[in-house]
Amino acid sequence: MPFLVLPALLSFWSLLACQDPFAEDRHDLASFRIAGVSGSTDASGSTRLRAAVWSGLGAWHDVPPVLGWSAPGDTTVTALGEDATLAFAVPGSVDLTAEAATGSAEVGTETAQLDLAAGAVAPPISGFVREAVDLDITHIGDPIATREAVAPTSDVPVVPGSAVRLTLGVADGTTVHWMGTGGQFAELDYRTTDWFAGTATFSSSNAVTSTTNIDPGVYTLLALVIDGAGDNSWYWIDVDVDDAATPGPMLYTAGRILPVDLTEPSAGFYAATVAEAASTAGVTLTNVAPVADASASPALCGNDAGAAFDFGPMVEGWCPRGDMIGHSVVLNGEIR
Amino acid sequence: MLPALALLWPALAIAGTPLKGTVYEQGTGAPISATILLPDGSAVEADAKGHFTLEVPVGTSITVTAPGFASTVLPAPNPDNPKPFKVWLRAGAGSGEVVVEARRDDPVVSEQRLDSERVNQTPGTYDDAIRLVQSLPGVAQTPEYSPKAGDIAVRGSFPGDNHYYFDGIELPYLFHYNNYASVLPTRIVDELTLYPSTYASNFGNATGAVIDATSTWDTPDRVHGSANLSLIMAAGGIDVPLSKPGKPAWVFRANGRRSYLDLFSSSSLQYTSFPVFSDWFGRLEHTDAKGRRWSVVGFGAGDTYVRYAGEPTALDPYQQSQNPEFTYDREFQVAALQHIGARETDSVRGSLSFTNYRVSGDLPDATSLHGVSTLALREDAQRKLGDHLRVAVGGEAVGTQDRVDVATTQAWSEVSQESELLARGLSDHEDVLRMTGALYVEPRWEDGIVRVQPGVRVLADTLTDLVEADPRLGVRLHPAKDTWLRAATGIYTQFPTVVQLSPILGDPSLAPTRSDQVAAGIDQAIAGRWEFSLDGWGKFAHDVITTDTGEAPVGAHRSKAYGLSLSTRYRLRDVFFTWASVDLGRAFVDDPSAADSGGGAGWAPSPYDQPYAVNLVASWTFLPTWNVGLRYRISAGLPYTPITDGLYLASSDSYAPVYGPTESARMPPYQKVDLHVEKKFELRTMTLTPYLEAWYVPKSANVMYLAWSYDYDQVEPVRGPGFIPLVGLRGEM
Repeated sequence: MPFLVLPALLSFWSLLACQDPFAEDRHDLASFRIAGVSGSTDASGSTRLRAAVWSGLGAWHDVPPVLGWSAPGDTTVTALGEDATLAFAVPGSVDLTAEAATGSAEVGTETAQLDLAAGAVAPPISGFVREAVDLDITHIGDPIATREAVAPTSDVPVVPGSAVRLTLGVADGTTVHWMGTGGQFAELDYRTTDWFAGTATFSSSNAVTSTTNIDPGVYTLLALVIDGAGDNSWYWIDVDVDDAATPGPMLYTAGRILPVDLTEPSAGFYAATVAEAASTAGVTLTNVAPVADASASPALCGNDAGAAFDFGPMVEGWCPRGDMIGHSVVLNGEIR
Repeated sequence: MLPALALLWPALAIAGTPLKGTVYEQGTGAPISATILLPDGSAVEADAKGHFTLEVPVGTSITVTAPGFASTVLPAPNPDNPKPFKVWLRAGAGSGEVVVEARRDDPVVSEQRLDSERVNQTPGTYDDAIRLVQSLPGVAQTPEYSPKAGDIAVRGSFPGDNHYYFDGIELPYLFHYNNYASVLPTRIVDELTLYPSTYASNFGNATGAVIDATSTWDTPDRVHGSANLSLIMAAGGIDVPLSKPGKPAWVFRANGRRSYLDLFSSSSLQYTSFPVFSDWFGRLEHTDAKGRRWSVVGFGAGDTYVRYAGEPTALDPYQQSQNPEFTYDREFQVAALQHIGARETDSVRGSLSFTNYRVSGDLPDATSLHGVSTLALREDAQRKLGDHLRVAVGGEAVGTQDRVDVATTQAWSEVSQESELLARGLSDHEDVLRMTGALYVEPRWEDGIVRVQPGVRVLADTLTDLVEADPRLGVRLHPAKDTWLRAATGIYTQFPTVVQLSPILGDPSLAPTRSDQVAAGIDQAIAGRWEFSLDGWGKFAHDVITTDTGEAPVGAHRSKAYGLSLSTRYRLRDVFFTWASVDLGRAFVDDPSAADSGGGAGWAPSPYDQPYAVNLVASWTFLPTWNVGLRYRISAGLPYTPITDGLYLASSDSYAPVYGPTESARMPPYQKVDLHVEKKFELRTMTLTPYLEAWYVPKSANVMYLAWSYDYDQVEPVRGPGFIPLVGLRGEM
């Protein structure tokens, strides 16, 4: 009667099965990508459709991609940022093809399908909380309860290898998926995540085997809110990774963090000129000076004249980055 | 044949002094009836208890022989030695009998037989007979640990088209968890036969292959016990003779096996309750004075574990905290009465069995159960009706009670490997009573060099309300001493399963699959010992049923498969065997959109289409206690349907694959080298055999499966271990 030692050993060796890691995972805002799609139907039966498309270049678009929407009985083509409406029966499905515009520095064609329920309402986002938390990348594999026990400190730049805790203001019953231009996420609950300024590799038993800190800089994150009905929401949030070697004043404004040339920490309205930058943010602010209000801010890229300027529409692709360069805008924020 | 080693013995005997002794089997300690040849040419017989008395001059030698044992030469013993004189013979060792498989007068045209010697000593099978089946000609080769590992796809058919029998009783499933081990303990398997196609009328309701295992039925002369222990499982077995030698034999056998890693690893990243598998076998058997055998037998197997439904490594921590647990439980139990009777020209074999099989898969918000209770009566008989005519007749009556119970609000593709019912995503409750029956008759006319064997099997099924007749014909010519020609053709019908015919989960209008099969071959033994076989075969089926994961079964497909198989073998029993085979074949399923990939436009490769497969095995017992074996195989990779893109599903923020043409891509060729070295230590009452195995798989040929990135834009091969040295220990008592 055989002693079946060999198969036993084989079962252990089977764990040696290996696969080269992929260059990107689903959390990465890296190459051209549809990051979210949303639809809502009005009383007339028309459905307003939106998409979040990552350019592959940074938190901006060279030229807004072309969106081809189609549903049974209706099709339309728009540029990213333009409202698209389709007449079709809900519940139903809409197909989307997002293609980088001809001549753009962006490259890619992606397809999506949105299953839309009747009466879908986009989950409202009431804002977000961004706090540093005293965890380093070696703790990314810790259980949720262990990380939850570590209280956040303050909304300050974090150093490479440390963590930021992000909480999105959404209601129960929704799910938030996080994406980013770097770092790694470790969720705590349906709307809260720790974002680590580093990367870790894991063993087959999910133990951290090695870690690497990411470079200082501003990293753009996307929080996608899914309600299962098809009318999704999303929010762009920047995080600043800084260290003593590369200090730099930043303007924190409406989720975005932009480099500025004013070193005095303060908060309020600031006039600034938008300049091109090679960073993921795509722009930097020059000639920054405090002002009393936003009345001088122009109507630009979806922003109303006289209102504090928001760079969110630039990320959304409502306008190409080139349209912004050289313009003076007024922002409401805090310099750190 | 290698000479047995003589045992040393003091040679100081006084001539003419009577001496008493006993002959035993080495390794078991069982007494043997033997013959002792004395120097003067006379002989002394040892009785059934091995006892003998002899007188022999000092300084001479005696030779001890017994049928089935290696002879041994001993110095004449010293009668003054106070210790009992014991002679130990090695059973069967180095018998060196030339085995020509084709000389067996088998009634079927295509078959492959395996016995325990080849199972134990073929490298890379790990003492599992079913694993060796996967290496036989005509069986698709699959990489170790790949998703299709363990699938037995024979001559282009699907694994679900096969039937598996153990002593005539159908097995609900063949493998334990993850194809780790088959449910049949090798210890009780006497012989295992694969009928790859064109089998005779005694089997039916299968368009693929039939695997028929038969159990050991020897009569032990004493209690034999065994136990084994590995890092994964523990097993024990016992054979108990219940009557005295020479009387009608009553024997009780029992075997049990259970994995026990769950005792040490209660949970892991993927499993919250570690996999447990077990199997058991018990039989009370009786052989009467006329050689008729009766038995009451029970056997069964079970597998259970609890795992997370979603792949934990692909989930974020919060998603993982919401990842539901999936409880999987599968088992079958069999109780049966069996009888076997044989006279010189006639034989009969039958069983009445009750099988209870159930498989369940449960999630917090979804449950699935499929239970099948089967009462089966099967009888096969052969009778000689004249000098040239024999006839085989038989039949089976099978009643099944299927219970399908599914409650779910969504499709669970995450558990499709274990539960097609949950992957389907439809709630259902059905209790289905089904009766199937079959009768066959197969005259076997033989005259001189020709044997013609026409047969017909009539099948009836209450669920489809159909009666089908499958005619079959086999012809065998024996034109020269060591030349045999074979040809066979037939129609093979397979009824759809209860689930396939379900009005909720399947399609009640599905028709039985019919396969028209043909095979022809030649066997030639060169110099009376080296065999070559060449087989050509074809299978053409219609009303083939295919099922994609999560989808309803679809019938009305056609399939075709054809190929050539060249094999050669040479065997000196217990000393040396080698066999090699080259299989060339193609298998296709109709697909109107398929481009020509060798089968013509409109034919896509079958998932088990393997254009070539080569096997080479050699095992040599170069000393009585040393054995070395080598095995090499290379085969074309199996086809797969490529993924050309990913479709972003915005409502769930996930991706769905966009598939290219069906089965239009192919995995890289697979190669593997296995080496086996063992050394046998024969103790007085047991044998221990430590052995070394090693495998080597070149990196380029070591792709288990492909993995795609989250959006299906990138693909990477997942490779298995390339080189593994292994040690093991086999013990027999």
